[in-house]
Amino acid sequence: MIQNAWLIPVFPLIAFIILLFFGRFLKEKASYVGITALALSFILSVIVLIERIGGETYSFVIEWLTFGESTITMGYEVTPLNAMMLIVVTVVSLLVHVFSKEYMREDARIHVFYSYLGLFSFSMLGLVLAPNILQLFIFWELVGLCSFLLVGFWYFKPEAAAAAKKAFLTTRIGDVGLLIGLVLLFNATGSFDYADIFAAVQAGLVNDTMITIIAICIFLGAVGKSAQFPLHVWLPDAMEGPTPVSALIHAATMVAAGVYLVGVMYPLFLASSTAMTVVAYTGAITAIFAATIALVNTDIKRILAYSTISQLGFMMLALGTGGYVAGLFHLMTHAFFKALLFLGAGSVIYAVHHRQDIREMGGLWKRMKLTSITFLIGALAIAGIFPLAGFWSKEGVLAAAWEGGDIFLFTIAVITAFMTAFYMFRLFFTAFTGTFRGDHEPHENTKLMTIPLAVLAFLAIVAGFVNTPLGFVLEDFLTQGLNVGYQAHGELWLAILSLAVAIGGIALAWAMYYKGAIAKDAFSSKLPAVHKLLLNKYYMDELYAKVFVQPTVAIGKFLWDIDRNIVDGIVNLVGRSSKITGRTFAKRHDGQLQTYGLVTIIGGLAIIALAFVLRGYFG
Amino acid sequence: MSAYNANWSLMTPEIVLGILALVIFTIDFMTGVKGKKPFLGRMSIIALLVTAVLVYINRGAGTIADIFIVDHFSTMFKIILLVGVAIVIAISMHYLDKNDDVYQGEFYSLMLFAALGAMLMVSSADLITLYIGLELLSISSYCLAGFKKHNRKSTEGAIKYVVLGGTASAFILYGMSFLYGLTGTTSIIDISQVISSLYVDYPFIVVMSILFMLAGFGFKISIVPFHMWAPDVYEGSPTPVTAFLSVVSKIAGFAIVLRVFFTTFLGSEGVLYDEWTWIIAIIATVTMIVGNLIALTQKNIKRLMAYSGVAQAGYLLVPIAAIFIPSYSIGVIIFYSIVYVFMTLGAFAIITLVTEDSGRDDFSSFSGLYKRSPYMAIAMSVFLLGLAGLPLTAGFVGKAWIFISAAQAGMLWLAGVMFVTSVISFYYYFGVIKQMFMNEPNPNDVELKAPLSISVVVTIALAVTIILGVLPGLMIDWIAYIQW
Amino acid sequence: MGLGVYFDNYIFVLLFMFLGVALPVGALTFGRLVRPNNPYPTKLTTYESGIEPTGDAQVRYHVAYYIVALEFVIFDVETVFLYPWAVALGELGWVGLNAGLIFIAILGLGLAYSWKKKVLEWN
Repeated sequence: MIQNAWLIPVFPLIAFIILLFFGRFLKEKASYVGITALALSFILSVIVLIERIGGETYSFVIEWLTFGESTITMGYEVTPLNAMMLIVVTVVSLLVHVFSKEYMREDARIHVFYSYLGLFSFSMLGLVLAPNILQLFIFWELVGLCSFLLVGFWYFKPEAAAAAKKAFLTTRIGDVGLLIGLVLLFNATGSFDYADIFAAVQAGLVNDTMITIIAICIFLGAVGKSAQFPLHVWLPDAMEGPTPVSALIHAATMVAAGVYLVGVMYPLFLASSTAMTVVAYTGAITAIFAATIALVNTDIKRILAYSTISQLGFMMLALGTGGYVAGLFHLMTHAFFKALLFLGAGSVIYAVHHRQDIREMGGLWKRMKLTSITFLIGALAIAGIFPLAGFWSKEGVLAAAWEGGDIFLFTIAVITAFMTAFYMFRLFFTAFTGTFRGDHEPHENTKLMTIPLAVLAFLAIVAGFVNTPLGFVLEDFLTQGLNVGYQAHGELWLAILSLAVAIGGIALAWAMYYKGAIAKDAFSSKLPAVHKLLLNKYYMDELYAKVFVQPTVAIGKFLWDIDRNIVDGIVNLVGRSSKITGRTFAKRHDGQLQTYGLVTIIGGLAIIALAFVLRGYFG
Repeated sequence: MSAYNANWSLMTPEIVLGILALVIFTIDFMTGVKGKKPFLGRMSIIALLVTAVLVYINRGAGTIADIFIVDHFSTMFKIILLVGVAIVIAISMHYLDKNDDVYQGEFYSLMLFAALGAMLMVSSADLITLYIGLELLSISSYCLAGFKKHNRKSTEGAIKYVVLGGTASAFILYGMSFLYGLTGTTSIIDISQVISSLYVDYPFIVVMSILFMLAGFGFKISIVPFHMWAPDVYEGSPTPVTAFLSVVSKIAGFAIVLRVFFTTFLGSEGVLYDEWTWIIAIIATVTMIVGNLIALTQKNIKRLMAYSGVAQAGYLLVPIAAIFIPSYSIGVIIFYSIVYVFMTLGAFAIITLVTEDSGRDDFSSFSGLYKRSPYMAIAMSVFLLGLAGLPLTAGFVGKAWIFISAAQAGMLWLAGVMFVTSVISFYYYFGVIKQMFMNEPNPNDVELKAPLSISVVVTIALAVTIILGVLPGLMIDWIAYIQW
Repeated sequence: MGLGVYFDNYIFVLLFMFLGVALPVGALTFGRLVRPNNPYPTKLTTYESGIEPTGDAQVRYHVAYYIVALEFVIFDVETVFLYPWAVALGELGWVGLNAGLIFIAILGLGLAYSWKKKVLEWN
């Protein structure tokens, strides 16, 4: 069946096409089309994974284009890494499809929603299966487009429409780097295929500086897509999209594509220690930066969004410090528990009639038992409590940071782990315990919504067991036939430290938000400036608006003014100087025709002058 | 070889198009001056397609007395231009159907004469022939730009176009006169054989000649700082004429820039390349930046397309500035031209449909287009995303190819400018897309029904944009064997 | 031929430019110097063949003037072309004859067009 792996993305594509044409007749039945397609993809992915475990990497390519001497291919391949990713993507996507059937039930455009979900699943699976980086880039843009469509799905909310545009454009800044990296890579190695690229790098055909430049350019793409500092600003805003979308795209799959990209190009990064350092530090800064914002935010989805950014930073940190398996392992476990948390949040939001402020919740534990339990499991998993999935993968990340030898990075990782536990349980205790503070009495949702939660909760518990000291199954699988260097394993003290930090964070949250032993404003009242800074997300949005957006528009306006006004002034000047000589040939006429003529001539002269300067005629 | 024993059959397509244009012209005035004449539109399309087929049959190599040349290059460009004009006429049929105060037959015959001029231009091997073709194209365009003669903006635009176009022609002639003065011949081929030695003796004059021609042609292809006419003329002209100007004039201009620069000035040794590479690189940079940034501030869809067209001209200059292998650069430009023709004409078909329906040409006429006509809204998005360069559209392949060729020629910074400015372009293209998908239609706008001609044009353009985006090999393999 | 020689040829151009400016300016200046100067209002009015001048000199002409003028120029140029053609027809042979006839036919079509569009009618 591994030869038929190409069918995996095709099923959702078919669903998309069907819904595009017949969606409006199917209405809410559209969900069945989507669910069926994803179920088929999932089953096939499982088969492919099983075959891949017992077999070899399979790849199939055809010639797509010939540019002069070089040929660009298209096709698909199944490697250990993407076999794992296929499972992650199809599982989460399938569960989100099921969940949305209830969540989006009342939306008149549910068929459109499912068609977009199908298109997204297709693009994401296509991205994962790509055998070369150009094909990856194509799907990479396509998932970005889907993200635009889905974030802006409720376009009648102006924030949603603005967030959609922001998400697309911000990630494209990273894509500039990625595309430049791609072209440089093609120039240096003559191919886009992963295998050829790595072979060329290993053979020393590319010089070290070039490798560093290329790796950093490619990493820039990952920074945009995985919302790393300083391009993280789009992800919190993207929460304006429907919650299942946040779970699928902005938690589990698309945002992880950046991490996946670094993973796929890992041999290239390994060849440049500078690039590795950049990756590690970007990851570390992002991790702690986003975690601090999550400490004070009160919007349930935005807390999770900042948490996602922070965890993605964790993955980058692991990759940057040599923890190839650790980073990707954390990617997998994070996909499960973060999707769980988002869908849990979705379930809560649905129950309290689309309120998202945790201060307006409270006491949900008694009213929504299943949602609360699964959410608790997710929170424990992300905090890193033994023996849930997050514990194992987080320990791997910490081990990589420790082995990397940079004590600064390790310290940041530990502090972030502490904060993670704290803000998750701040959220949990505020929203789920105490008394209900909203106005609509919430009730547990139907099975359609709780079953996906239960499945994800199960995965959040067990997914970590694939890579424990009892057997590093995932590590052996992922490193098959790959030389990614020594993979660090945590010792016992590290596990204890990690657990202690997690419990410490939970305990502090418990003391502040459940027990009330420490006043909630104990810190904020002492450090109001810091609190304000965090509440305003370090003023990053304002900074960008001031530094990038406004100047660009201003330059546009300025050039427009030149086009229209300044040259007119020159004409008047000519007119006035002519008057001095007693002539009045510059009698004012209507319109600006003379202006244009003058610009044409001035422009021509400018070019001639330029040419002579370049030629050195003027010295 | 003199004009007597030359192989005039090489000119068959031009002669046939000329005769057909005159026939349509005659039928028009014999059937009364006023009234709707859709049959003339259909005849014009057939005439153009017949000519395109003749061009294809007549492909191969040959010259007539060193003044007219038929090669792969000219064949390719002629087919692009003829198909482009045919599409413009299909769009015009809808426009003229809505505006029956416009003289219909003249509109079509002028288009055909313009097409004939463009064909002569790309086939010319002589500066005089080139100039005549250029003027035939330009004068027809001036008339077309002012076709709404009772509309202020249209007449104003046309006057500006005439005066500035005349200035540009003067620049070109002056540049040509330098070459003639030095060599005593107007034949491009003869000049190219002596250009290297001329350059050694008279670098100053040869460079002046290049620069003057560059300024003149720069006007036709609307590059900064010769772009000032474009927004006014684009806005004033009837929308199909705007489409014509932004596609046919521009691509024909590029063809001739290639012919003059790559044949005449590159010569056999390419000594002059060092002379212009930096100048054109700088012009391309400024053009991309100015075009894209000013487009950000526009609220009128036709002005937006004008500035976006300026930016696109900047992208097309990149392969001229950064030559890796000459034939490779030409291939890149031809591919992007094809892509550009279809994406732009597709977009203009929809712009014509929408603006003629609402009578306004600011963005708001696109509000909620998705609700009014989902197909048109999706197609428009594809065209705009293609112009911006999103993967899986032909625009991406075209841009990526330009990008790669620039990188191969070692001008990575230029490629970088191109990519950064394309990112900016996403912003304004998305502005239109947002209007279509994320705004409600205006209260009195009902479902929009597209006439057959527009639907056909949009479908063809959409198919090309997507097919060349997914399977660019189809076209690239075909272009690859272009020879001079 | 060196660069200098090439530019030497521009001396004639400069000479023409100089003469073009110098002659009228010189003639008028000279005239001004030698003629008696005794202006009075009637003398300063525009000379219009002895008829009392009326209105502004910058009037808008009827658009038909321009079209007729255009027509005139076109056929005037045609005549200029046809003279040498007719004289040399013997040497030009059939190719020359055909070329000339095509030229005339195209202009004939143009004439028919303007006729149909009532350009030749004054109102």
